[in-house]
Amino acid sequence: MRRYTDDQERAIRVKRLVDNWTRSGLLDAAQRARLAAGLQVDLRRTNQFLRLTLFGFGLLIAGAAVGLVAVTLHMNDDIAGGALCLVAAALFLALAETLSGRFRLYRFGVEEACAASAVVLVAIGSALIVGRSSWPESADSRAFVALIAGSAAAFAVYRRFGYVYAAAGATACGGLSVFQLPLSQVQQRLLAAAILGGCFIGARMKRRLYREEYPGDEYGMIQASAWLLVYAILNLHLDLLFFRPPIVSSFYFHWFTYALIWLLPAAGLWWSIRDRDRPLLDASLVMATATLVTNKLYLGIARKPWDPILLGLLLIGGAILVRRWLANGRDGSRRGVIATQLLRSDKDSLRVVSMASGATHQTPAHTDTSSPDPFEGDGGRSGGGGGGAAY
Amino acid sequence: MTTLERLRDWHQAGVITEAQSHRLAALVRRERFSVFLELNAALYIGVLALVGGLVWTFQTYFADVGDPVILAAFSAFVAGCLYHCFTRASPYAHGEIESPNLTFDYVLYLGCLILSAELAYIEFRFQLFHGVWDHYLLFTAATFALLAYRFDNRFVLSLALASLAGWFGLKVSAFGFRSAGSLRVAALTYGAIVAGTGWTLYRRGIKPHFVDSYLHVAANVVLAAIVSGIVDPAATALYLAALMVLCVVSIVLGVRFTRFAFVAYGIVYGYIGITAKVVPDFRHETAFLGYFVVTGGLVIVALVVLARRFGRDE
Repeated sequence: MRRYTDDQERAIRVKRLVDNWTRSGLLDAAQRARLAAGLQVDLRRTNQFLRLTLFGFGLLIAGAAVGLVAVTLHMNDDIAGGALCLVAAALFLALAETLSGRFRLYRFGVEEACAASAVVLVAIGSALIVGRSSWPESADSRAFVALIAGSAAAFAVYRRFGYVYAAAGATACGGLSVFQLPLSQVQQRLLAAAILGGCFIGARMKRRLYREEYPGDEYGMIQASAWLLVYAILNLHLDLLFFRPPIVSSFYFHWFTYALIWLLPAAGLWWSIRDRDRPLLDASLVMATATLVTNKLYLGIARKPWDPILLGLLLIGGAILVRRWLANGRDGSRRGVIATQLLRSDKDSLRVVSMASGATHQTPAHTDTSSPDPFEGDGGRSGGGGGGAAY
Repeated sequence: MTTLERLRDWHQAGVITEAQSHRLAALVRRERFSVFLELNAALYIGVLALVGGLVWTFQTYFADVGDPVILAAFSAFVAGCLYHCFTRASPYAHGEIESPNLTFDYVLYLGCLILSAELAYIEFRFQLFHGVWDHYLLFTAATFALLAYRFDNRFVLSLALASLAGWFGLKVSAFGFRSAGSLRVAALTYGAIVAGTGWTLYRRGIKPHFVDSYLHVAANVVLAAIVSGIVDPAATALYLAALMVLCVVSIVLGVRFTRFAFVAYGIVYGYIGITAKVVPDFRHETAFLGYFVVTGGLVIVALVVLARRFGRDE
């Protein structure tokens, strides 16, 4: 079923580890050279920047090519357009197969763009062909079909090529499809949470089976994304995510979800620390922060300007306390969990964040300096926290 | 074959020592698990939230609290942060210096953000910088740059570069040159100065690890400014020629120094620039879509050749 063999996948991952260990000073260059020689795979790869660029241009061509055929052949009705999308999806999938098979491309960007285009085209094509049925006005059969077909296609792409983002997309589409059904908002959320919870349990069982070894790392990512989505659907005040107003729910459902938005991150943190599961840990920390941000909304308490101060102090204080607690353990750790960096990759990630932080410091707009209030209007002037749009 | 089995084989073959084998196996089994990144993320978000909350609070309640209290609070924060940094920092060195502890970098970052907020508050309330607002930005940029170099802090360096960008923007408007063209000139000047400064300091061995921050900012600002010149119908054709030259330089130097982000910048900005010049002349959808199919295909072929020759490593 898989395009790449388990040995190839494992060799690629071990090669990455060897590179990281070498950069961290745990291996020397001569050792790396000897180990890397035994980890060669007959696949063509490239670096992340070229991969992303190739992926972007691949999507551009796919979209333009389908549009060109549609315009040239004057395909104006839904059925013809849908058929074109499905045929194009099959062709792009075949192209992805050829590129990854005959040309031995692995995470090269262009074959990923073909597979991703096929998923999108299957979703659009299916929706166009099915059309609008006699569903109630509150439901959208076309969107439902698009999401279900997209979910199935994305899952098939994951199973074939191993793209974790395709699996995460399949999970998300599957869960969100419920919101197109003619059900009450409470029923929609419960059903979506149940579907995503099922995905979480399935991925978790597989992840516990393989742990960090391939494909355990993939299941770990899928598990974390499903867990995050369960939380996002059950937190009634994250409606901005769905671009819709907060739902009016029953008393019991409101407090049921309130309990869950505290329990889900807590459970995730417990499991992730126990299992040394970084994707789940990070997802749970995001959820915990979202719970703190939405807590007042749940309790119906008016938000105050000093709320961010409390959140900031809580995060900073929490980080300092955790670091001290870990550092005071035997060998500077608590059951193996440490606060210091282990590998060079940790520092590299931090370096990227610090460089990207420049984007949060909004440079000044070209306002008239004679304005009596230089903080009025255009956003921050000299730093992310240095004065807002209207100080 | 699992990673642990490979480690055992490598040890038996004598490629790695027993100590290395044990240490790496412990890492693979996650017997040591670092939460370093998560703690850093909490500190970073915490600092941003804290400063944002302070600004929001003082903005809302300045009439009740009073200027002296607010300024005293801001000043105390800044002084406390700087005192903490100056008393705990390692001596200055041109090379990379490890932070003395996890919170050190964020204390400095917090102090700089609050200093920005304090100066902004002073201007908001008293207009002390009336007419010379750009000098305030230059002052903060210089201060942040000095602190970034003294304490080896990339977050503060980013803050300095952002403030300097602000100074360039306001400098133009203060002289009354408010057209898009003058802003482009300012952006090009800013990019040239940032790139030149970064490169010069790199060549002199002064915090050479900062050079990437300079070059990423400069490349994006300069290329975006030139692309905006191509889009502007009032601009001259020189922009297209300049874009081509700079994109080629970005790609060539990116390949030479294995900085493939710059290769991507060169390709993406170059493509956007040419497309912006060519596509408005198309009158038919077929030509429009055909353009993307043909040119996109050419770019992909060129990229594949480039990736196979130079960009193989992950």
